[in-house]
Amino acid sequence: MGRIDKKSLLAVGLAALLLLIAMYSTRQSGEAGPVRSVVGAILTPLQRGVTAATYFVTDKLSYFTEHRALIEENERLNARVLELEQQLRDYDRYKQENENLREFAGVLEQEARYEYAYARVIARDPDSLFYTFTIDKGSADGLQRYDAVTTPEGLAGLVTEVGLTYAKVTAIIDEITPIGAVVSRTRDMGVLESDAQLHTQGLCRVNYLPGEGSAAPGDSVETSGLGGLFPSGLVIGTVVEVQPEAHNISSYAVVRPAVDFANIRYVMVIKSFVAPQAEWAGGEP
Amino acid sequence: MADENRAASLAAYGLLAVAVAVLQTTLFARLHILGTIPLMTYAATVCVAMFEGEQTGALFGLLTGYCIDVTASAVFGRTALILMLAGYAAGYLARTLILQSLTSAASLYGLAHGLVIAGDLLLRLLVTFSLAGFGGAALAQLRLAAVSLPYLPLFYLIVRRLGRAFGRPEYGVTP
Repeated sequence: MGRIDKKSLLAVGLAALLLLIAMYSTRQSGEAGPVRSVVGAILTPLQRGVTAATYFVTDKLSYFTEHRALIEENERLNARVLELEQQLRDYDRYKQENENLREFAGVLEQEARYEYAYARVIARDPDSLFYTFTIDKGSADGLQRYDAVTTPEGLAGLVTEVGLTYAKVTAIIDEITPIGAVVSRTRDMGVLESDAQLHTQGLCRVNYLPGEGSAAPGDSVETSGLGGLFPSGLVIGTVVEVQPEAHNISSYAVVRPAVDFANIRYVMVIKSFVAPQAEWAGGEP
Repeated sequence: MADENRAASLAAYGLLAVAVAVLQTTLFARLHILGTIPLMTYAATVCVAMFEGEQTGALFGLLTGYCIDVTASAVFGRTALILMLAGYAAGYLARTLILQSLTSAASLYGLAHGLVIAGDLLLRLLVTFSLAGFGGAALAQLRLAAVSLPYLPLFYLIVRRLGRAFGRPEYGVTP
């Protein structure tokens, strides 16, 4: 057996101690320290470059490999456009009707206002299946911990750590802070939480729904806005099944997120928002 | 001259560590095998440690792990700690006990994953006093070791070539 180099053993022990302190301090706050911010600032452009090159190559290759699928998708989308155009005409009619009724009832509504930052996904957590990812905007762009991260499909997650030039985003199906949710059809409220078993299947659950009739498979679930962390109306996903809780007082819904986490490329981070508020024009109703 | 070579080789391993971390979190993070993302980090750290010794191995593991931790969702510092200790242990064993060969690298690689499982067991016993979930975590680590194994010969060749390019002296137990 060779001799142990005491100096290097001491150095490794010291480094291990510092890492343990770093692990403990990270649990206290979501702010990346100066050293991490510097490392992140060095890594971010490299990750951005490799990711851009990867997308460029895969996009070029997909032109050849997905030609047939693209034609079929085009036909399907054309049919969908026709359907949506009809819905848009209905929407305009309902909107006008709604405005007339509000005017009649004397309700003034302040519209929701959002301040967004657009960001690119530049890296993904190798320890989990795409559920935590890194974006190329950070505190220098005004991002803060717990900012909501969305895509055109719906709510993707929230910012859990902010560096100077990057931010880590935890997906809604990963371990995340509970989010107020509402079933669009019934307006019954629950709390969106991750579930260790469902997480591996790419699903999450909405707990504390009042009863089994609160939701049904196919129902859409969106943010309720309660708690003030997220604005209301952000699409979370679709109900897959509804089950009673163990104590049988409430029920929970298994939800498939609207966002395809494996293929997110761009996101919008809601830096700040003003919730819509209804006011009676003539004071108390 | 020897000092210059040493500095150049350390710089090269530093660049390799950053490259491994960047590729692992971008291009290779999209690769799934049996529901697991293969990791290059263990294979790279073990190979560097086997050819360069415990100091370089521990430093390489620390740097690679730190860069991964900037992106990963696990508790910050966890990957750096695991890879640093794995690099140190692999380097020490290579210096004192085993031949520098692909078989040895594979043994050290298995040992590194075994250390992670043992460390997890120890933490559960000392901190949570419960073994709930240990079996699943150990199986996941073994699955990770299996799916990441193809990276080992690649890094074995890269690090051996790098060492020769920088005129690395005979080190440890050689055949």
